Amino acid sequence: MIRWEIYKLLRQRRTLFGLGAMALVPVLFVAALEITRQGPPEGEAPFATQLLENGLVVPLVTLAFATFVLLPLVVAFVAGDAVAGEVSAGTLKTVLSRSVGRTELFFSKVVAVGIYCLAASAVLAGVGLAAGYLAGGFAPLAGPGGATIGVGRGIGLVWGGAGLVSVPLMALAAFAIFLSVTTHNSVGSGVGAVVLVLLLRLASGLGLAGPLDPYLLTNQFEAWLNLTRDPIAWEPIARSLWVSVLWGAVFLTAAWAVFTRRDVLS
Amino acid sequence: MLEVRGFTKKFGDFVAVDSLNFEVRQGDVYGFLGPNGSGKSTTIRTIFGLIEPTEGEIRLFGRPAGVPGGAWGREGVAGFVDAPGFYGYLSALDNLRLLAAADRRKGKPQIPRVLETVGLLGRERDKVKTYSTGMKQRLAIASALLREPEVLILDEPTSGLDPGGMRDVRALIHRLNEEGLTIFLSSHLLAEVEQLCNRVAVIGNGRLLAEGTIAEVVGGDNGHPGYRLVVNEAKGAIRILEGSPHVTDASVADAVAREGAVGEEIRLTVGPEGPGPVVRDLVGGGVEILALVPARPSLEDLFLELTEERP
Repeated sequence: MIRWEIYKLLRQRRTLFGLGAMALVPVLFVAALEITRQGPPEGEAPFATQLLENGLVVPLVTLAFATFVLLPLVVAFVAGDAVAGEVSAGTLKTVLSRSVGRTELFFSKVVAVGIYCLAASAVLAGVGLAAGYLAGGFAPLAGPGGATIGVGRGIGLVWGGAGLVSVPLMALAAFAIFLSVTTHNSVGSGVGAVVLVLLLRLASGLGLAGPLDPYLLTNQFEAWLNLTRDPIAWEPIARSLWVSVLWGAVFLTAAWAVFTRRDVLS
Repeated sequence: MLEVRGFTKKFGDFVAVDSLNFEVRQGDVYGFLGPNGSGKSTTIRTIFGLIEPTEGEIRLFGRPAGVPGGAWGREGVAGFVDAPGFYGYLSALDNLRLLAAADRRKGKPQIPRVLETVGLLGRERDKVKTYSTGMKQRLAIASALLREPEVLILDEPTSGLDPGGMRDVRALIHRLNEEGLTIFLSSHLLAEVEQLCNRVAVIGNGRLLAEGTIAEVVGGDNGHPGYRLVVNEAKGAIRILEGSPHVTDASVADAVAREGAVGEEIRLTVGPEGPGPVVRDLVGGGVEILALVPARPSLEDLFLELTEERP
Protein backbone atom coordinates (compact mmCIF):
# COMPACT_ATOMS: atom_id res chain seq x y z
CA MET A 1 0.00 0.00 0.00
CA ILE A 2 2.98 2.32 0.53
CA ARG A 3 3.60 2.46 -3.21
CA TRP A 4 -0.02 3.40 -3.84
CA GLU A 5 -0.04 6.03 -1.10
CA ILE A 6 3.03 7.65 -2.66
CA TYR A 7 1.48 7.37 -6.12
CA LYS A 8 -1.71 9.06 -4.91
CA LEU A 9 0.29 11.84 -3.28
CA LEU A 10 2.19 12.48 -6.49
CA ARG A 11 -1.05 12.67 -8.47
CA GLN A 12 -2.64 15.33 -6.27
CA ARG A 13 -2.48 19.00 -7.10
CA ARG A 14 -1.96 19.93 -3.47
CA THR A 15 1.24 17.88 -3.36
CA LEU A 16 2.62 19.25 -6.59
CA PHE A 17 1.66 22.78 -5.60
CA GLY A 18 3.65 22.39 -2.37
CA LEU A 19 6.71 21.02 -4.15
CA GLY A 20 6.36 23.75 -6.77
CA ALA A 21 6.27 26.38 -4.03
CA MET A 22 9.44 24.90 -2.56
CA ALA A 23 11.11 25.08 -5.95
CA LEU A 24 9.95 28.64 -6.45
CA VAL A 25 11.37 29.99 -3.18
CA PRO A 26 15.07 29.90 -4.17
CA VAL A 27 14.28 31.05 -7.71
CA LEU A 28 12.36 34.08 -6.47
CA PHE A 29 15.02 34.70 -3.85
CA VAL A 30 17.78 34.75 -6.46
CA ALA A 31 15.66 36.93 -8.74
CA ALA A 32 15.12 39.39 -5.90
CA LEU A 33 18.84 39.40 -5.14
CA GLU A 34 19.67 40.10 -8.76
CA ILE A 35 17.23 42.97 -8.87
CA THR A 36 17.95 44.60 -5.51
CA ARG A 37 21.57 43.51 -5.00
CA GLN A 38 20.71 43.47 -1.31
CA GLY A 39 20.69 40.41 0.97
CA PRO A 40 19.19 39.89 4.42
CA PRO A 41 20.84 41.74 7.35
CA GLU A 42 23.73 40.13 9.17
CA GLY A 43 22.54 37.67 11.80
CA GLU A 44 19.15 36.97 10.24
CA ALA A 45 20.43 34.15 8.09
CA PRO A 46 23.56 32.01 7.98
CA PHE A 47 26.40 33.43 5.89
CA ALA A 48 24.20 36.40 4.95
CA THR A 49 27.17 38.71 4.36
CA GLN A 50 28.55 36.39 1.67
CA LEU A 51 25.25 36.06 -0.15
CA LEU A 52 25.95 38.41 -3.02
CA GLU A 53 29.33 36.86 -3.79
CA ASN A 54 28.71 33.14 -3.27
CA GLY A 55 25.84 31.14 -4.76
CA LEU A 56 26.42 28.38 -2.22
CA VAL A 57 24.84 30.63 0.39
CA VAL A 58 21.52 30.77 -1.49
CA PRO A 59 20.25 27.29 -0.48
CA LEU A 60 21.42 27.84 3.12
CA VAL A 61 19.58 31.14 3.43
CA THR A 62 16.41 29.88 1.73
CA LEU A 63 16.43 26.77 3.94
CA ALA A 64 16.68 28.95 7.04
CA PHE A 65 13.83 31.19 5.87
CA ALA A 66 11.61 28.39 4.61
CA THR A 67 11.73 26.52 7.91
CA PHE A 68 10.15 29.48 9.63
CA VAL A 69 6.69 29.07 8.08
CA LEU A 70 6.68 27.96 4.44
CA LEU A 71 8.00 24.41 4.80
CA PRO A 72 5.77 23.71 7.84
CA LEU A 73 2.83 25.22 5.94
CA VAL A 74 3.29 23.03 2.88
CA VAL A 75 3.80 19.89 4.93
CA ALA A 76 0.91 20.68 7.27
CA PHE A 77 -1.61 20.94 4.45
CA VAL A 78 -0.51 17.72 2.78
CA ALA A 79 -0.38 15.78 6.06
CA GLY A 80 -3.66 17.29 7.21
CA ASP A 81 -5.32 15.91 4.10
CA ALA A 82 -3.94 12.39 4.52
CA VAL A 83 -7.00 10.94 6.26
CA ALA A 84 -9.51 13.78 6.25
CA GLY A 85 -9.32 14.14 2.47
CA GLU A 86 -10.14 10.47 2.06
CA VAL A 87 -13.03 10.71 4.48
CA SER A 88 -14.58 13.65 2.66
CA ALA A 89 -14.10 11.97 -0.74
CA GLY A 90 -15.62 8.73 0.57
CA THR A 91 -12.53 6.78 -0.42
CA LEU A 92 -11.51 5.76 3.09
CA LYS A 93 -14.57 3.54 3.45
CA THR A 94 -13.93 2.14 -0.03
CA VAL A 95 -10.38 1.09 0.86
CA LEU A 96 -11.25 -0.10 4.37
CA SER A 97 -13.98 -2.31 2.92
CA ARG A 98 -11.23 -4.38 1.35
CA SER A 99 -8.81 -6.74 3.12
CA VAL A 100 -6.15 -4.23 4.06
CA GLY A 101 -5.88 -3.63 7.81
CA ARG A 102 -6.23 -0.21 9.32
CA THR A 103 -2.75 -0.30 10.85
CA GLU A 104 -1.14 -1.12 7.52
CA LEU A 105 -3.09 1.62 5.78
CA PHE A 106 -2.26 4.14 8.50
CA PHE A 107 1.47 3.52 8.40
CA SER A 108 1.46 3.51 4.60
CA LYS A 109 0.07 7.02 4.79
CA VAL A 110 2.61 7.99 7.43
CA VAL A 111 5.49 6.74 5.28
CA ALA A 112 4.14 8.58 2.23
CA VAL A 113 3.83 11.82 4.18
CA GLY A 114 7.32 11.29 5.63
CA ILE A 115 8.71 10.89 2.13
CA TYR A 116 6.90 14.07 1.17
CA CYS A 117 8.64 15.91 4.03
CA LEU A 118 11.99 14.71 2.70
CA ALA A 119 11.00 15.62 -0.86
CA ALA A 120 9.91 19.14 0.08
CA SER A 121 13.22 19.78 1.85
CA ALA A 122 15.17 18.16 -0.97
CA VAL A 123 13.45 20.25 -3.64
CA LEU A 124 14.20 23.39 -1.67
CA ALA A 125 17.85 22.39 -1.28
CA GLY A 126 18.28 21.09 -4.83
CA VAL A 127 16.67 24.05 -6.56
CA GLY A 128 18.49 26.37 -4.15
CA LEU A 129 21.82 24.85 -5.13
CA ALA A 130 21.01 25.09 -8.83
CA ALA A 131 19.71 28.66 -8.59
CA GLY A 132 22.67 29.70 -6.45
CA TYR A 133 25.17 28.14 -8.84
CA LEU A 134 23.55 29.80 -11.85
CA ALA A 135 23.41 33.15 -10.07
CA GLY A 136 26.95 33.40 -8.73
CA GLY A 137 28.75 30.08 -8.87
CA PHE A 138 30.12 28.29 -5.81
CA ALA A 139 33.03 29.38 -3.66
CA PRO A 140 34.31 28.27 -0.23
CA LEU A 141 32.34 29.66 2.70
CA ALA A 142 33.74 31.54 5.65
CA GLY A 143 32.36 29.62 8.64
CA PRO A 144 31.13 31.19 11.92
CA GLY A 145 34.48 30.65 13.67
CA GLY A 146 36.47 31.96 10.75
CA ALA A 147 37.30 28.51 9.41
CA THR A 148 36.86 27.98 5.70
CA ILE A 149 34.20 25.53 4.53
CA GLY A 150 35.12 24.05 1.17
CA VAL A 151 32.61 23.84 -1.67
CA GLY A 152 32.23 20.09 -1.29
CA ARG A 153 31.52 20.34 2.42
CA GLY A 154 29.29 23.34 1.75
CA ILE A 155 27.14 21.27 -0.62
CA GLY A 156 27.10 18.50 1.97
CA LEU A 157 26.01 21.10 4.52
CA VAL A 158 23.03 22.03 2.33
CA TRP A 159 21.89 18.44 1.95
CA GLY A 160 22.62 17.65 5.60
CA GLY A 161 20.63 20.70 6.65
CA ALA A 162 17.72 19.69 4.45
CA GLY A 163 17.80 16.20 5.94
CA LEU A 164 17.89 17.47 9.51
CA VAL A 165 15.07 19.92 8.88
CA SER A 166 12.97 17.01 7.60
CA VAL A 167 12.90 15.38 11.03
CA PRO A 168 11.00 18.11 12.94
CA LEU A 169 8.93 18.54 9.76
CA MET A 170 7.88 14.91 10.07
CA ALA A 171 6.97 15.50 13.70
CA LEU A 172 4.81 18.42 12.63
CA ALA A 173 3.29 16.20 9.94
CA ALA A 174 2.47 13.68 12.68
CA PHE A 175 0.53 16.39 14.51
CA ALA A 176 -1.32 17.29 11.30
CA ILE A 177 -2.13 13.61 10.74
CA PHE A 178 -3.43 13.40 14.30
CA LEU A 179 -5.71 16.35 13.62
CA SER A 180 -6.71 14.82 10.30
CA VAL A 181 -7.71 11.55 11.98
CA THR A 182 -9.55 13.17 14.84
CA THR A 183 -11.32 16.04 13.08
CA HIS A 184 -11.81 14.57 9.59
CA ASN A 185 -11.35 18.15 8.42
CA SER A 186 -8.61 18.59 5.87
CA VAL A 187 -8.23 22.37 5.91
CA GLY A 188 -8.74 22.58 9.66
CA SER A 189 -5.99 20.03 10.23
CA GLY A 190 -3.56 21.98 8.05
CA VAL A 191 -4.45 25.25 9.71
CA GLY A 192 -4.22 23.64 13.14
CA ALA A 193 -0.68 22.47 12.49
CA VAL A 194 0.36 25.91 11.24
CA VAL A 195 -1.23 27.51 14.30
CA LEU A 196 0.82 25.17 16.49
CA VAL A 197 3.98 26.35 14.75
CA LEU A 198 3.05 30.00 15.23
CA LEU A 199 2.08 29.52 18.88
CA LEU A 200 5.29 27.69 19.69
CA ARG A 201 7.34 30.34 17.94
CA LEU A 202 5.45 33.00 19.85
CA ALA A 203 5.97 31.18 23.14
CA SER A 204 9.68 30.84 22.41
CA GLY A 205 10.04 34.42 21.21
CA LEU A 206 8.34 35.83 24.31
CA GLY A 207 10.25 33.51 26.62
CA LEU A 208 7.05 31.88 27.88
CA ALA A 209 8.32 28.32 27.64
CA GLY A 210 10.98 28.73 30.35
CA PRO A 211 13.06 25.57 30.78
CA LEU A 212 10.96 23.79 28.15
CA ASP A 213 12.13 26.14 25.41
CA PRO A 214 14.85 23.81 24.05
CA TYR A 215 12.19 21.11 23.67
CA LEU A 216 9.68 23.12 21.67
CA LEU A 217 9.18 21.53 18.28
CA THR A 218 9.78 24.73 16.36
CA ASN A 219 13.20 25.20 17.95
CA GLN A 220 14.34 21.94 16.40
CA PHE A 221 14.13 23.50 12.94
CA GLU A 222 17.28 25.53 13.62
CA ALA A 223 19.40 22.61 14.86
CA TRP A 224 20.89 22.05 11.41
CA LEU A 225 22.82 25.34 11.76
CA ASN A 226 25.10 23.49 14.17
CA LEU A 227 26.47 21.65 11.14
CA THR A 228 28.17 24.91 10.12
CA ARG A 229 30.27 25.05 13.28
CA ASP A 230 33.82 23.83 13.36
CA PRO A 231 33.87 21.34 14.91
CA ILE A 232 30.25 20.37 14.34
CA ALA A 233 28.14 20.71 17.51
CA TRP A 234 26.52 17.29 17.64
CA GLU A 235 24.82 17.62 21.02
CA PRO A 236 22.10 20.08 19.93
CA ILE A 237 21.66 18.11 16.71
CA ALA A 238 21.16 14.88 18.63
CA ARG A 239 18.75 16.63 20.99
CA SER A 240 16.82 17.98 18.03
CA LEU A 241 16.51 14.48 16.64
CA TRP A 242 15.23 12.83 19.79
CA VAL A 243 12.95 15.72 20.69
CA SER A 244 11.43 15.62 17.19
CA VAL A 245 11.08 11.85 17.31
CA LEU A 246 9.36 12.17 20.68
CA TRP A 247 6.90 14.78 19.41
CA GLY A 248 6.22 12.68 16.33
CA ALA A 249 5.84 9.43 18.24
CA VAL A 250 3.33 10.91 20.68
CA PHE A 251 1.08 12.29 17.96
CA LEU A 252 1.44 9.27 15.69
CA THR A 253 0.58 6.89 18.50
CA ALA A 254 -2.48 8.93 19.37
CA ALA A 255 -3.48 9.17 15.70
CA TRP A 256 -3.00 5.43 15.19
CA ALA A 257 -5.08 4.64 18.28
CA VAL A 258 -7.95 6.77 16.97
CA PHE A 259 -7.63 5.62 13.36
CA THR A 260 -7.77 1.93 14.19
CA ARG A 261 -10.76 2.24 16.48
CA ARG A 262 -12.88 5.05 15.20
CA ASP A 263 -16.12 4.36 13.34
CA VAL A 264 -15.95 5.41 9.70
CA LEU A 265 -19.27 7.13 9.21
CA SER A 266 -18.81 8.95 5.92
CA MET B 1 -23.86 -16.91 4.73
CA LEU B 2 -24.60 -13.63 6.47
CA GLU B 3 -26.15 -13.74 9.92
CA VAL B 4 -27.15 -10.71 11.91
CA ARG B 5 -27.86 -11.61 15.51
CA GLY B 6 -29.05 -9.07 18.08
CA PHE B 7 -27.08 -6.35 16.33
CA THR B 8 -27.39 -3.02 18.12
CA LYS B 9 -25.50 0.17 17.35
CA LYS B 10 -25.69 3.24 19.53
CA PHE B 11 -24.12 6.63 18.88
CA GLY B 12 -24.12 8.16 22.33
CA ASP B 13 -27.72 7.94 23.50
CA PHE B 14 -29.07 7.57 19.99
CA VAL B 15 -29.96 4.01 19.05
CA ALA B 16 -29.32 3.71 15.31
CA VAL B 17 -29.99 -0.02 15.13
CA ASP B 18 -31.85 -1.96 17.78
CA SER B 19 -31.51 -5.73 18.20
CA LEU B 20 -31.58 -6.55 14.51
CA ASN B 21 -31.88 -10.18 13.44
CA PHE B 22 -31.95 -11.64 9.96
CA GLU B 23 -30.14 -14.14 7.80
CA VAL B 24 -29.09 -14.09 4.17
CA ARG B 25 -28.85 -17.52 2.57
CA GLN B 26 -26.82 -18.73 -0.35
CA GLY B 27 -28.36 -17.75 -3.69
CA ASP B 28 -30.59 -15.05 -2.23
CA VAL B 29 -31.12 -11.65 -3.67
CA TYR B 30 -31.93 -10.26 -0.28
CA GLY B 31 -33.63 -6.90 -0.09
CA PHE B 32 -32.85 -4.69 2.88
CA LEU B 33 -35.63 -2.16 2.98
CA GLY B 34 -36.11 0.90 5.07
CA PRO B 35 -36.66 4.61 4.82
CA ASN B 36 -33.74 7.02 4.96
CA GLY B 37 -32.16 7.02 8.41
CA SER B 38 -33.62 3.66 9.35
CA GLY B 39 -30.24 2.04 10.00
CA LYS B 40 -29.55 0.31 6.67
CA SER B 41 -26.19 1.93 6.01
CA THR B 42 -25.15 1.54 9.65
CA THR B 43 -25.78 -2.18 9.34
CA ILE B 44 -23.81 -2.42 6.09
CA ARG B 45 -20.94 -0.38 7.53
CA THR B 46 -20.77 -2.87 10.36
CA ILE B 47 -20.71 -5.78 7.95
CA PHE B 48 -17.68 -4.16 6.30
CA GLY B 49 -15.98 -3.49 9.64
CA LEU B 50 -16.22 0.26 9.26
CA ILE B 51 -18.04 0.61 12.55
CA GLU B 52 -18.20 -1.60 15.59
CA PRO B 53 -21.39 -3.12 16.98
CA THR B 54 -22.46 -1.90 20.40
CA GLU B 55 -24.14 -5.24 21.07
CA GLY B 56 -24.78 -8.44 19.18
CA GLU B 57 -22.81 -9.66 16.24
CA ILE B 58 -22.72 -10.04 12.51
CA ARG B 59 -21.24 -13.22 11.11
CA LEU B 60 -20.07 -13.86 7.60
CA PHE B 61 -19.51 -17.48 6.62
CA GLY B 62 -19.62 -18.25 10.33
CA ARG B 63 -16.86 -15.77 11.21
CA PRO B 64 -17.41 -12.51 13.06
CA ALA B 65 -17.53 -9.42 10.85
CA GLY B 66 -17.49 -5.84 11.97
CA VAL B 67 -14.15 -5.66 13.71
CA PRO B 68 -12.54 -2.29 13.02
CA GLY B 69 -8.82 -2.08 13.52
CA GLY B 70 -7.61 -4.95 11.46
CA ALA B 71 -8.06 -7.10 8.41
CA TRP B 72 -10.81 -9.46 9.44
CA GLY B 73 -10.77 -11.93 6.63
CA ARG B 74 -13.34 -10.30 4.43
CA GLU B 75 -12.71 -13.05 1.91
CA GLY B 76 -15.84 -13.92 0.01
CA VAL B 77 -17.65 -10.64 0.52
CA ALA B 78 -17.47 -7.37 -1.37
CA GLY B 79 -19.59 -4.37 -2.16
CA PHE B 80 -20.03 -0.79 -1.21
CA VAL B 81 -21.86 1.42 1.22
CA ASP B 82 -23.48 4.78 0.42
CA ALA B 83 -22.27 6.53 -2.73
CA PRO B 84 -19.15 4.67 -3.84
CA GLY B 85 -16.02 6.75 -3.28
CA PHE B 86 -13.22 6.72 -5.82
CA TYR B 87 -10.10 8.78 -6.40
CA GLY B 88 -11.39 11.19 -9.01
CA TYR B 89 -7.90 12.31 -10.01
CA LEU B 90 -6.95 8.73 -10.90
CA SER B 91 -8.17 6.66 -13.82
CA ALA B 92 -10.66 3.86 -13.27
CA LEU B 93 -7.84 1.44 -14.04
CA ASP B 94 -5.63 2.94 -11.32
CA ASN B 95 -8.53 2.89 -8.88
CA LEU B 96 -9.09 -0.80 -9.54
CA ARG B 97 -5.37 -1.56 -9.29
CA LEU B 98 -5.19 0.28 -5.98
CA LEU B 99 -8.19 -1.59 -4.61
CA ALA B 100 -6.76 -4.88 -5.86
CA ALA B 101 -3.58 -4.05 -3.92
CA ALA B 102 -5.74 -3.40 -0.85
CA ASP B 103 -7.33 -6.81 -1.34
CA ARG B 104 -3.98 -8.59 -0.92
CA ARG B 105 -5.26 -11.46 -3.02
CA LYS B 106 -2.85 -13.80 -4.71
CA GLY B 107 -2.72 -13.84 -8.50
CA LYS B 108 -3.28 -11.17 -11.07
CA PRO B 109 -6.49 -9.20 -10.58
CA GLN B 110 -8.99 -9.79 -13.34
CA ILE B 111 -9.46 -6.13 -14.15
CA PRO B 112 -10.34 -6.43 -17.86
CA ARG B 113 -12.90 -9.12 -17.06
CA VAL B 114 -14.72 -7.10 -14.41
CA LEU B 115 -14.62 -3.99 -16.58
CA GLU B 116 -16.19 -5.96 -19.39
CA THR B 117 -18.82 -7.36 -17.02
CA VAL B 118 -19.99 -3.88 -16.08
CA GLY B 119 -19.57 -2.42 -19.56
CA LEU B 120 -16.69 -0.06 -18.82
CA LEU B 121 -14.02 -1.72 -20.94
CA GLY B 122 -12.58 0.98 -23.17
CA ARG B 123 -13.17 3.75 -20.64
CA GLU B 124 -10.80 2.45 -17.99
CA ARG B 125 -8.09 5.02 -18.70
CA ASP B 126 -10.43 7.96 -18.18
CA LYS B 127 -10.19 9.79 -14.88
CA VAL B 128 -13.04 8.83 -12.58
CA LYS B 129 -13.96 12.48 -12.09
CA THR B 130 -15.14 12.47 -15.72
CA TYR B 131 -17.51 9.55 -15.06
CA SER B 132 -21.26 9.92 -14.77
CA THR B 133 -23.05 8.69 -11.64
CA GLY B 134 -24.10 5.55 -13.48
CA MET B 135 -20.54 4.81 -14.56
CA LYS B 136 -19.33 5.27 -10.99
CA GLN B 137 -21.99 2.82 -9.79
CA ARG B 138 -20.86 0.31 -12.38
CA LEU B 139 -17.23 0.90 -11.43
CA ALA B 140 -18.18 0.24 -7.82
CA ILE B 141 -19.72 -3.06 -8.83
CA ALA B 142 -16.60 -3.84 -10.89
CA SER B 143 -14.38 -3.09 -7.90
CA ALA B 144 -16.50 -5.44 -5.79
CA LEU B 145 -16.34 -8.19 -8.41
CA LEU B 146 -12.53 -7.95 -8.39
CA ARG B 147 -12.64 -9.72 -5.06
CA GLU B 148 -14.48 -12.64 -6.67
CA PRO B 149 -16.98 -12.60 -3.82
CA GLU B 150 -19.65 -15.09 -2.91
CA VAL B 151 -21.74 -12.35 -1.33
CA LEU B 152 -22.15 -8.99 -3.00
CA ILE B 153 -23.39 -6.17 -0.78
CA LEU B 154 -24.88 -3.22 -2.62
CA ASP B 155 -26.13 -0.12 -0.87
CA GLU B 156 -28.74 1.59 -3.03
CA PRO B 157 -26.98 0.63 -6.26
CA THR B 158 -29.41 2.52 -8.50
CA SER B 159 -29.41 5.70 -6.47
CA GLY B 160 -28.95 8.76 -8.65
CA LEU B 161 -29.24 6.84 -11.90
CA ASP B 162 -31.47 7.71 -14.84
CA PRO B 163 -34.04 5.09 -15.90
CA GLY B 164 -31.66 3.59 -18.44
CA GLY B 165 -28.88 3.35 -15.85
CA MET B 166 -31.27 1.75 -13.36
CA ARG B 167 -32.33 -0.83 -15.92
CA ASP B 168 -28.70 -1.68 -16.71
CA VAL B 169 -27.69 -2.06 -13.07
CA ARG B 170 -30.75 -4.17 -12.27
CA ALA B 171 -30.06 -6.40 -15.26
CA LEU B 172 -26.47 -6.76 -14.07
CA ILE B 173 -27.59 -7.69 -10.55
CA HIS B 174 -30.01 -10.24 -11.96
CA ARG B 175 -27.29 -11.72 -14.16
CA LEU B 176 -24.75 -11.90 -11.33
CA ASN B 177 -27.28 -13.72 -9.16
CA GLU B 178 -27.95 -16.17 -11.96
CA GLU B 179 -24.21 -16.76 -12.14
CA GLY B 180 -24.26 -17.81 -8.50
CA LEU B 181 -23.63 -14.69 -6.45
CA THR B 182 -25.63 -14.10 -3.32
CA ILE B 183 -26.70 -10.48 -3.27
CA PHE B 184 -27.61 -8.29 -0.33
CA LEU B 185 -29.31 -5.22 -1.66
CA SER B 186 -30.19 -2.19 0.39
CA SER B 187 -32.80 0.06 -1.13
CA HIS B 188 -35.80 2.20 -0.48
CA LEU B 189 -37.02 1.69 -4.05
CA LEU B 190 -39.80 -0.80 -3.44
CA ALA B 191 -40.41 -1.66 -7.07
CA GLU B 192 -36.74 -2.46 -7.43
CA VAL B 193 -36.77 -4.77 -4.45
CA GLU B 194 -39.97 -6.45 -5.61
CA GLN B 195 -38.45 -6.92 -9.02
CA LEU B 196 -35.06 -8.25 -7.93
CA CYS B 197 -35.32 -9.84 -4.51
CA ASN B 198 -36.65 -13.17 -3.31
CA ARG B 199 -36.38 -12.32 0.39
CA VAL B 200 -36.52 -9.07 2.28
CA ALA B 201 -36.04 -7.50 5.67
CA VAL B 202 -37.91 -4.29 6.40
CA ILE B 203 -36.47 -2.01 9.05
CA GLY B 204 -37.67 1.25 10.50
CA ASN B 205 -36.08 3.33 13.23
CA GLY B 206 -33.38 0.70 13.51
CA ARG B 207 -35.80 -2.11 14.29
CA LEU B 208 -36.74 -5.14 12.23
CA LEU B 209 -40.37 -4.78 11.16
CA ALA B 210 -40.77 -7.75 8.85
CA GLU B 211 -38.63 -10.47 7.34
CA GLY B 212 -39.12 -13.34 4.91
CA THR B 213 -39.98 -13.97 1.29
CA ILE B 214 -41.82 -11.14 -0.36
CA ALA B 215 -44.98 -13.25 -0.44
CA GLU B 216 -44.67 -13.97 3.27
CA VAL B 217 -43.95 -10.39 4.12
CA VAL B 218 -46.86 -8.90 2.19
CA GLY B 219 -49.18 -11.61 3.47
CA GLY B 220 -50.37 -12.85 0.10
CA ASP B 221 -49.27 -16.39 0.63
CA ASN B 222 -51.50 -17.40 3.51
CA GLY B 223 -53.96 -19.57 1.56
CA HIS B 224 -56.69 -16.98 1.82
CA PRO B 225 -56.14 -14.65 -1.10
CA GLY B 226 -57.75 -11.27 -1.11
CA TYR B 227 -59.73 -9.74 -3.97
CA ARG B 228 -61.07 -6.39 -5.03
CA LEU B 229 -64.66 -6.80 -6.18
CA VAL B 230 -66.48 -4.08 -8.04
CA VAL B 231 -70.26 -4.42 -8.14
CA ASN B 232 -73.18 -2.29 -9.19
CA GLU B 233 -74.56 -2.19 -5.66
CA ALA B 234 -72.45 -2.94 -2.59
CA LYS B 235 -75.12 -3.21 0.07
CA GLY B 236 -76.87 -6.19 -1.49
CA ALA B 237 -73.57 -7.84 -2.35
CA ILE B 238 -72.34 -7.59 1.24
CA ARG B 239 -75.54 -9.23 2.46
CA ILE B 240 -74.90 -12.19 0.17
CA LEU B 241 -71.20 -12.38 1.01
CA GLU B 242 -71.83 -12.34 4.76
CA GLY B 243 -74.01 -15.39 4.36
CA SER B 244 -71.59 -17.24 2.12
CA PRO B 245 -69.51 -20.12 3.57
CA HIS B 246 -66.85 -19.42 0.94
CA VAL B 247 -66.03 -15.93 2.21
CA THR B 248 -63.85 -15.34 5.28
CA ASP B 249 -64.02 -11.56 5.27
CA ALA B 250 -65.78 -8.88 3.25
CA SER B 251 -66.12 -5.15 3.63
CA VAL B 252 -67.00 -2.16 1.53
CA ALA B 253 -63.82 -0.35 0.55
CA ASP B 254 -63.30 3.17 1.75
CA ALA B 255 -65.13 5.50 -0.59
CA VAL B 256 -62.66 7.21 -2.80
CA ALA B 257 -63.92 9.83 -5.18
CA ARG B 258 -62.69 8.75 -8.57
CA GLU B 259 -63.72 10.61 -11.65
CA GLY B 260 -65.60 8.34 -13.98
CA ALA B 261 -65.63 5.52 -11.43
CA VAL B 262 -68.27 2.92 -12.04
CA GLY B 263 -69.73 0.70 -9.32
CA GLU B 264 -68.78 0.20 -5.70
CA GLU B 265 -65.75 -1.61 -4.40
CA ILE B 266 -65.69 -4.40 -1.89
CA ARG B 267 -62.61 -6.05 -0.43
CA LEU B 268 -63.02 -9.68 0.38
CA THR B 269 -61.00 -12.69 1.36
CA VAL B 270 -62.17 -16.07 0.11
CA GLY B 271 -61.61 -19.61 1.26
CA PRO B 272 -59.28 -22.18 -0.26
CA GLU B 273 -61.80 -23.06 -3.00
CA GLY B 274 -61.17 -19.67 -4.58
CA PRO B 275 -63.55 -17.00 -5.83
CA GLY B 276 -65.66 -19.21 -8.16
CA PRO B 277 -68.39 -20.18 -5.65
CA VAL B 278 -68.59 -16.57 -4.47
CA VAL B 279 -69.14 -15.34 -8.02
CA ARG B 280 -71.91 -17.88 -8.48
CA ASP B 281 -73.57 -16.77 -5.22
CA LEU B 282 -73.42 -13.12 -6.20
CA VAL B 283 -74.70 -13.66 -9.74
CA GLY B 284 -77.43 -15.94 -8.37
CA GLY B 285 -78.40 -13.17 -5.96
CA GLY B 286 -78.78 -10.69 -8.80
CA VAL B 287 -75.62 -8.73 -8.21
CA GLU B 288 -73.91 -7.42 -11.31
CA ILE B 289 -70.13 -8.01 -11.09
CA LEU B 290 -68.18 -5.33 -12.89
CA ALA B 291 -64.69 -6.49 -11.92
CA LEU B 292 -62.93 -9.05 -9.76
CA VAL B 293 -59.20 -8.49 -9.28
CA PRO B 294 -56.72 -10.29 -7.00
CA ALA B 295 -55.81 -7.79 -4.31
CA ARG B 296 -52.43 -8.99 -3.20
CA PRO B 297 -51.05 -6.13 -1.13
CA SER B 298 -47.96 -4.61 -2.65
CA LEU B 299 -44.66 -4.28 -0.89
CA GLU B 300 -45.25 -0.57 -1.00
CA ASP B 301 -48.52 -0.95 0.93
CA LEU B 302 -46.76 -3.01 3.54
CA PHE B 303 -43.73 -0.74 3.67
CA LEU B 304 -45.82 2.35 4.23
CA GLU B 305 -47.99 0.58 6.77
CA LEU B 306 -44.97 -0.67 8.71
CA THR B 307 -42.84 2.43 8.59
CA GLU B 308 -45.40 5.19 8.86
CA GLU B 309 -47.30 4.04 11.90
CA ARG B 310 -44.20 4.10 14.06
CA PRO B 311 -42.76 7.19 15.67
